[in-house]
Amino acid sequence: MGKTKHELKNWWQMATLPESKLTRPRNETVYWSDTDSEENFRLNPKQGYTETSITYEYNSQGFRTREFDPATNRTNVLFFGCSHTEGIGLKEEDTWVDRVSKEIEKFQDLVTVVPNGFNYYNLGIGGGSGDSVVRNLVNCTNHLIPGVVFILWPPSGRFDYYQQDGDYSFWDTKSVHDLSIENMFLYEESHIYNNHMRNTLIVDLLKKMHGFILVELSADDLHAEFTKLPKSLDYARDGHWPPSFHRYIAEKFFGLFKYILQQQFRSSDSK
Amino acid sequence: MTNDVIDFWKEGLIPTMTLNENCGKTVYWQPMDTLENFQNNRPEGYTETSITYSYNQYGFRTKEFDLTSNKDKILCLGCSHTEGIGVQDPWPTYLQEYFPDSDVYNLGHGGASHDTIARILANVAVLIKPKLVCIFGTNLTRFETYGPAGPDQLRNNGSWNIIPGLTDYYDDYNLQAQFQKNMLIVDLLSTKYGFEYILYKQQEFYGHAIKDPKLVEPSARDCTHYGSYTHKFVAKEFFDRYTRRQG
Repeated sequence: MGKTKHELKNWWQMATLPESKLTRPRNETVYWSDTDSEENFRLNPKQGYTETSITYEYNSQGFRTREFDPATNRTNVLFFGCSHTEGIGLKEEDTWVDRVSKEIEKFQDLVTVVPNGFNYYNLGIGGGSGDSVVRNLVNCTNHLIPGVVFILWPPSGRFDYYQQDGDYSFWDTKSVHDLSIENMFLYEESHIYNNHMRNTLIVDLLKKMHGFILVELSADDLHAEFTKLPKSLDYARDGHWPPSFHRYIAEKFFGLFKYILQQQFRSSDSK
Repeated sequence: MTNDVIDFWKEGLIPTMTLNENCGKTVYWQPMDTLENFQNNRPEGYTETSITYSYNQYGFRTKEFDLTSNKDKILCLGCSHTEGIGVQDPWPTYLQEYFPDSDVYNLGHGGASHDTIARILANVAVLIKPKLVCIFGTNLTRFETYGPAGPDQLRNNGSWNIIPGLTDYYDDYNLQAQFQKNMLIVDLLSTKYGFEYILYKQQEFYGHAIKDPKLVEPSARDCTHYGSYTHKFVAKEFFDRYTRRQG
């Protein structure tokens, strides 16, 4: 399940649909996912949550989102990131993705510009890296053509690696947890930075090619802000950021989105 | 982010300091093509002064970039086989003969990986705006790493420094995926700047060498790299591919 049968799969091609990690269910609704496990909950129950209070609905490609509709004439709004974007430990309506989607739906200024409306896709993957974000965006560009792209860059120091199991190929993430004496240069500040710059170069080139609106924030920066905030009174069911911080992220993202739109409108007015 | 961290992937940046300590200089020897090596092997057809390595101000073994010229520009990218270690005239020099009305620039770099090729192209495409890019593919097991200021600020990794803890990096699937990612960058740059590119993969070259083993004879002065017979063949291969593409 979830494995792609190809001897040498082209992970970076633009003509395929993105694929989540093997560990994500396909076409299934589950009550637990990733670090939000039943065992974790029993050991450390969080106020306001029960064993069935969160449902994770995964589509056929293993993303916590609706089924992809490549043939639509609606504008696709794509959200990329790691578990903070997938919304691990949170009800879907508490995630920043859901909040931003609802704000865009209510944003009247867009009605005339986007008459057919929007399709929203959450392409966040728990444990995802900057590599996986960009790879999934690359995969989307010819099938799930992006109109607006939100990226919550995953924590730095993570990168893709690719594996084979029999005839199947799949991807996963390496992170600082895999740090060893031999590979520590991969976790050098400069190496991480340059890997990120290579990824952002690809995003910039895709943006120029497809003309989508790009709105981005970084999980590293947000985490620094989170640690400075007064301790929140709410929680995710596991150890992820609470709903109140997702509201904060959503406000930031939507504020940036409106600012970029204003700049674009202003720029097109003056031409 | 500390001050010594450089964005090597920046468009418009030519990282001269990391490419070659011989920027703007002409030298007779290179790290593999050494006087000591020459004196030990005495390769036929070469003298101590028969090869000059002339680097432009950015450290490429090519003429200075003329950004004001109206001529079409052709960029040649690859590793030491493109830089031409051990030969006086690498394949880009022969390619220039096929395109007399164009400026052919050799951006080959000894030890280069496909990371290096994609990165250098990202750096220079916006400046040089090439019409054609010819890539002589290198070994898939090579990759770049980036460290703090110093000798490892930009490091080429390959068979000369296999790192035991990086088995995942040397796995076929990872190597192939990194190659795909780099070629995606080349492809996107091609779309953005409107140039054509030709990739002559190393595997394709080895396929040709099965039919003509002379192609892989180490007949350069360093007794490791290929000689002028191979460089002429590679230039012709690029020209033939370009001609076929033009229909």
